[in-house]
Amino acid sequence: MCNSMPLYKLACGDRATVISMDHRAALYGRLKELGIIEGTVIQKVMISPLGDPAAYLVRGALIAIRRTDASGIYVSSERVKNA
Amino acid sequence: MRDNNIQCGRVIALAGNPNVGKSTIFNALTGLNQHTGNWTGKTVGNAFGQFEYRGERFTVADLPGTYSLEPHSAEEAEAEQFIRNGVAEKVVIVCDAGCLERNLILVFQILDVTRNVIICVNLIDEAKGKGIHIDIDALSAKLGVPVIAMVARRGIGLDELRSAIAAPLVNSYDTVCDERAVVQQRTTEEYVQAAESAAECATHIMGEQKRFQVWMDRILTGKYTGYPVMMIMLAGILWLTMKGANYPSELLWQGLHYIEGQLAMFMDWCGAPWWLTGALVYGAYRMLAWVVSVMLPPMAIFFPLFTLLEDLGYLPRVAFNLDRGFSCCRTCGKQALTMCMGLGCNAAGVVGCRIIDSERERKIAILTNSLVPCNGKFPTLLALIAIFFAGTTVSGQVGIMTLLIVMAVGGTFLCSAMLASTLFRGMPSSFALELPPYRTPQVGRIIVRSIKDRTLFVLGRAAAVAAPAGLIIWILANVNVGDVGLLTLIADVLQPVGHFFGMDGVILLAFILALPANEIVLPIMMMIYTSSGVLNDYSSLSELQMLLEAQGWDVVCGLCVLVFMLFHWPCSTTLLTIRRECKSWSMAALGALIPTLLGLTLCALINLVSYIFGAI
Repeated sequence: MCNSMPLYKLACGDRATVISMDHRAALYGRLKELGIIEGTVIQKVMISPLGDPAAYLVRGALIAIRRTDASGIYVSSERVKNA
Repeated sequence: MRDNNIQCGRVIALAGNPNVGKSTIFNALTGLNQHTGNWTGKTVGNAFGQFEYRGERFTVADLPGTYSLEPHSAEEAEAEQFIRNGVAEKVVIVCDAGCLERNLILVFQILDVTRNVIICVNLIDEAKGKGIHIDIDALSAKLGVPVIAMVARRGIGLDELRSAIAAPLVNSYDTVCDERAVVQQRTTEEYVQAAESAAECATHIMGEQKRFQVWMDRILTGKYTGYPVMMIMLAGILWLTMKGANYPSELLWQGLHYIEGQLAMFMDWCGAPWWLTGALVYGAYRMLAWVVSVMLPPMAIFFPLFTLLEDLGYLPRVAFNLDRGFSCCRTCGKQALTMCMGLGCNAAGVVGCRIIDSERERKIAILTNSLVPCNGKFPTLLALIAIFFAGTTVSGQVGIMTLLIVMAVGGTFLCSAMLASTLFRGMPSSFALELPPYRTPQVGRIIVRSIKDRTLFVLGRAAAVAAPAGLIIWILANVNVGDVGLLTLIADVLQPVGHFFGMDGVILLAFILALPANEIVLPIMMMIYTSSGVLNDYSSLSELQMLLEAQGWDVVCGLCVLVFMLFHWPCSTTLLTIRRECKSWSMAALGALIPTLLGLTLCALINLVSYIFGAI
């Protein structure tokens, strides 16, 4: 059984699987088009010098997402072993 | 190039995600020079070009990059409409081999609109470097449409693409996906899943991603290195520009000045009246000579360097680094990209604001764009810095110039925050910016392109304004009303206003008259000053300094002019662009008002402080 947490809490360098997404979030449609849906594996790659936004590796592309937008995405708190 | 000739021959559309190389393929096909660069959202608006293949004519439309057919921004809507309205006989969808899965989402969406599709898997070489191998045949079989492997930068796969474009329409998408007819509108999730399964069977990953990319990002966006590196880059570009431009500028000016003397002599020899010689030689020609000698060398260095960073993929990193600031101002981080473009030309920056999704944030970005000094302001800023502050040491000039640009960025933040909390209230919209992989810049092409397309274009526009402006202003300055020149008369009226802001009437008048182009502020000032008969010639910076000091300029005045040069209304081209982009004259007026108010406030403050200190 795995617990979920907001995407931005992911530690830098870690990978996790998206469990659920907030349908009300403003970015919901855009994130889906970028390939982020339930079940997608996401890796947090780097954080901007001032702590926000962070860049995530999604399906081979590096995408910067702000903390407020990433808070609508919930990922499993279990780390994904090398995908 | 825009919108005309669209009916000519068979029409082909180039679509795809942002930054996958559509413009590169477009240029390769048509032989045109659509601007390319390594960042999301560089192509705004559709561009059209033509080519001939086996005796047939084709028109190619280069659409702005889009992630889906449900557009979120104006530029994406343009692409979407073009695909949906069926003008194009075939749609060439360009994909990045490095992230094929994500690219295929759009492919499946377009396949639901039209089945006449050719897929180009571009950047195959780059993907190989990442350890990704694409099975082209498997992908083609899966999708039921032609798939071509490409390295557009090196021209690999272009011939195949041409013949695929020319081939008659056949494909088997319907037989592959029978459910298509039933499910007209699939949800985004379904598209993503389709893309996932298609990519899975065609992509083979072997080996690890190159460490180079990670290493670059660690330095360029690192917690402790991100900002220092950004400042060093900025100062470095400025240093190279100034150091490199100094001598050629001087030489060019002397050469053109010599020709001026010869021209005047020739006019005399022809027996031309003094006013004709004055208007043509000392008015039109001198203004033109000034603009060319003072602008050409710095631009010829600045633009290639800027394009180099653009090609490398550094610009989105700047946006990534600065986003926190924009988020605090409740605006969009992509504004950093339009700000960078503004450094080259504010009009281009304003057009570039189309990449910002939210209408509110786009307007803020448009209105604050001219707070960043464009290339036309650079030479004047440099001359003023050299005369009043840094002497002749290049490092001192670079330091002050860097400081000015940091100040301009600060002003952008300030005004954006103010606009976001007054006129354009609202929640900050979401922000998702793709950071492309670093790519080795193509140095040779950069130099040719940036000089041909940017430098000469901007210079040409400035020169086209400078010559007639010089002519008119010389005439105005030498038309006498009573005993004094007309311009001197107007300047006298403006004098008290100018004084209040630490400047004088002539300076204010020069700024007003230079509305068509920022480059000509200083020469207009010279023309008005010299027409009052104090000094009638200036051929070097030190003579310029003498002239200005004779007119009562001191350090405070120099500083005020510097600040006002940085923050005042943008040129008329930019204002017209704002009006076109926002479809409102009041927005254009606001775009002029905001920087002017900021500049005047700062000047008044500087003047007040110096007055208080002077009194003590």
